[in-house]
Amino acid sequence: MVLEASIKSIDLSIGYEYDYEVLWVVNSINIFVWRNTTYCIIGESGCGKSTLGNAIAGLLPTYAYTNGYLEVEERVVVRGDETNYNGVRGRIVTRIPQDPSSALNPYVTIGEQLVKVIKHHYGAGGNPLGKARELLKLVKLPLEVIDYYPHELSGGMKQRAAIALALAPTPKVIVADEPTSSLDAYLRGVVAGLLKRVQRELNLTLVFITHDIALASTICDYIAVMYAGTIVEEGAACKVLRNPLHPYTQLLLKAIPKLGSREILSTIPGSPPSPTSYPEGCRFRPRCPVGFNECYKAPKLIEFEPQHKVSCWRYAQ
Amino acid sequence: MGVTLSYVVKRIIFSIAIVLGISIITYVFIYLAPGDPAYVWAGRPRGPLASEAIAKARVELGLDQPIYVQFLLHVLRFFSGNWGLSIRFKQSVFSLVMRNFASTLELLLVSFITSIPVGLFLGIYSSLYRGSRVDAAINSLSIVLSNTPRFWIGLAMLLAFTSLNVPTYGRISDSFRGELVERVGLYLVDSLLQGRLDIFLDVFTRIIPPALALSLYPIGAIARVTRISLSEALQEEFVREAVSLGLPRKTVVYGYALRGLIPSLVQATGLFFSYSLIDAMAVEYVFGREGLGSLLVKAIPANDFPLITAALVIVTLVYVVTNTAADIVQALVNPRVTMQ
Amino acid sequence: MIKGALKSMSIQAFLITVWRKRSAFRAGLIITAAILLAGIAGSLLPLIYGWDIGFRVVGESFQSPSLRHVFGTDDLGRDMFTRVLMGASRALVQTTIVIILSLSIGLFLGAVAAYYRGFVERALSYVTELFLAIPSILLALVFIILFGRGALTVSLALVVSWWSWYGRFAYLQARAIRDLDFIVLAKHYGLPGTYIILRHVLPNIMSPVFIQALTDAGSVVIELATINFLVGVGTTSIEEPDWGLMLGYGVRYMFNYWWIPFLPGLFIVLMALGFALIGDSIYEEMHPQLKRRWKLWF
Repeated sequence: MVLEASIKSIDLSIGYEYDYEVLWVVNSINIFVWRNTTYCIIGESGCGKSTLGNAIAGLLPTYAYTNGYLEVEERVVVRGDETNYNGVRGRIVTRIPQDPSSALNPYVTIGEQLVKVIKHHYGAGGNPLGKARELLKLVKLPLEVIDYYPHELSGGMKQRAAIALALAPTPKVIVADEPTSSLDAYLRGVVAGLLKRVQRELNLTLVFITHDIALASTICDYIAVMYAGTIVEEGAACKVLRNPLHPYTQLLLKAIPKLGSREILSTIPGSPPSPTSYPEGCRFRPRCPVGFNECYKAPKLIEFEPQHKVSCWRYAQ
Repeated sequence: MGVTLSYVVKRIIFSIAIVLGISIITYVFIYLAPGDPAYVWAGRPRGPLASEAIAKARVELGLDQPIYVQFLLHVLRFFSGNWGLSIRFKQSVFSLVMRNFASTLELLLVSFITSIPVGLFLGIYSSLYRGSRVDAAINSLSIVLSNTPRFWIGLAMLLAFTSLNVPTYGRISDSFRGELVERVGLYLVDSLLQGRLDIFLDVFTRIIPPALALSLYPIGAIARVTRISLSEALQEEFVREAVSLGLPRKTVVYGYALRGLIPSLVQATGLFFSYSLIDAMAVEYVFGREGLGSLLVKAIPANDFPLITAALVIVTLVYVVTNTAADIVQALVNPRVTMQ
Repeated sequence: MIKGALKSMSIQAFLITVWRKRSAFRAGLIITAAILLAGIAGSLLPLIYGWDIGFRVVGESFQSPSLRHVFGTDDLGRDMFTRVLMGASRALVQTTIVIILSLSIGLFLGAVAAYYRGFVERALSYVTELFLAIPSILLALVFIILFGRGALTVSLALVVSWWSWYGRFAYLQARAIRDLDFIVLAKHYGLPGTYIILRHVLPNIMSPVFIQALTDAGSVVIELATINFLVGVGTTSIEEPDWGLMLGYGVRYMFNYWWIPFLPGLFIVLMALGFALIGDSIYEEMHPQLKRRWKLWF
């Protein structure tokens, strides 16, 4: 397996127009995702993880502003405030939506939607209907779903259909934006497992965005923990999960319930700050149990050990 | 489809209820009018036969019968097309209105055939390039167009065309009037059926200026509705999903965003059509064309309210029919049939 | 959706932003201010020159616009400028009456229909739909024929059907909020229905309905003008300084004395346009999907 960069960003910031100002929700992010790996972005809601995912998938709304540099599969998609996703969307990167019931075209059957996408990318000659059937088989959907409208499917089936659609253009990168948040607890694991299997079988790069660190730990190779628009810890999954460095990651891991354990689950005091009022310095400082004076200055993401970076003054030399 | 069918039936029953309500309102009018209802119903007759006519009207209205019988008689008359006598023209209102309706309808149809595609095109373009200069121009144009009285624009156009020596006054030139055989009532169709291209051209040149004046409102209104609703639809989640799959712009706009708007656009166009009917009546008068409008204008100074009531009923019926049709189309097009 | 946009800023701040951002709003405001000024001048003129100022014959009929008579004179030799100014105050008063009365009726009936449900809801919805189906202009004409064509009659005649437009909108708004906690709780406490409607339902549906009324104030102007136009074309003489009547009556002179129908019509256009421009820019600026930056991104 050749290790190459699939996604690379340098000082990427993304903001939205809000009451005639730009509100920066993602700040100076540097990520590096290897090809054919699963990269998880973990964080509470509102920390900017979906925005980052949308930037990779080319789905930032038109009132978004960008700064910095982002590269997907050796194509520069963001440079400064200019974005260019021509030929990237679909062919190279697709997205699995958070809420499939609003993301599937309600006026057209699942089969037609699949065929439309396949026809566009491979022409009408290549037996699009057959390919659509294969895709449905791949995501373990019964074949009669082809004639169903989205509103006739259950939540889990809709999500599978959305996954099939995202696979239809045979992309190299798939961004799964909280694909399990609208599902039951049982289905979450199933869908995550399905994604992992598809990633391995089709040699994809999977960017998996979730707030559920337990779920992420089951499928990912690399983890990035986001807090208030910045990455606070990043690295190989085994290293981050076994040896969490940032206090936020540590607290997140403590908050996972363990079967059979009688330990009282800990919670993180306070609530995540809104982009209108990010604290000065380290953004986790107001909620941090181990903060000290240095934390009034903004920390940088530094390499603690190979394949393990953290943004916390406690590890600064 | 079972749900759709029951919706269609429900919708039609509701429309019939609305038409019934209108018949009640026209019934109230007869009794609101000053003076003896029978006298008014008979068309305010004068001369030696007057008392006879009034007596006949009294029997027809059933004034000697109990009130519910009167009302029942009225509803029966209403649905059989017996809407009384015109005070001004001393003729059956129904046949008078029907004879002139074709002319107004012809004008309205011609104006809508042009304004629907133009309005749609402007609306789609300005919503795709929202915020650009072209959009600003289209948007202000459509605000101006939909807020200018059509009869005033018609006036300006008539003056302009007349000064250019283009014959625009009237529906058909006097020399052709005797030659045209009326079959459908729409002169454009009639002249073609007769195989007379010269008459067709004459009628056509005369219908264009008023149709143009009339089409300004639907063009502006359709463009505005399309612009606003397409702008919303383009930001819908399933449209973004289509973009994320790399589908081309044409498919995303027409196959995804616009597709969901068809029902509401059909509905809005139906509304504009029935609103324009009144505009057509005013514009028609300005251009000296016969039709409902000219009839109405003559009826007002004569206080001819059976005739005005009839015009009101006709316009309402057009509204109800177009609206019902639009609703039914909406139910048929949309797979997620919304039923209430 | 529309209410949410206002939450984060005050009304003044909002209006200032709209003024800064949208030239249509500026244009609309200037036009409306001009019409208002004309209306004030029109209502002051009689106080200065006597009540017959608009009807005073200057003995020079069909004078084309000149310095002496800026808008020319009409068939009876009355100064058109004076009459057009007086028409402005008349049009403003009529429009205000129509909007205020229709709004109050529509808001109230809409709220009642949504709150009481069951038979009341169905009956009121039916009546609203019925009056929506009837063309307001023709209904108004019937009433004018029955009750005469005074300034007040024309406005009231339009109200008879115009309320249904706001009624349906208010009903849809009220239906969306009727199951919210504060209303359900108020019902639980046994508060009387009229109190809940006045205190809780109406204040919460008011602002979207007001904005709706603002955006189609222009069409009220046009509806009134159309009614008066249709009345005006048939009459043998007109007394009232009303734009629609003047335009309709003046149509007979259009080939020889263009200013008689043309100038009153121009003012109808300006007034309707002013309202529409204001309403439209406010609507767009309150609409989250329309106010934000857009470019064709795919």
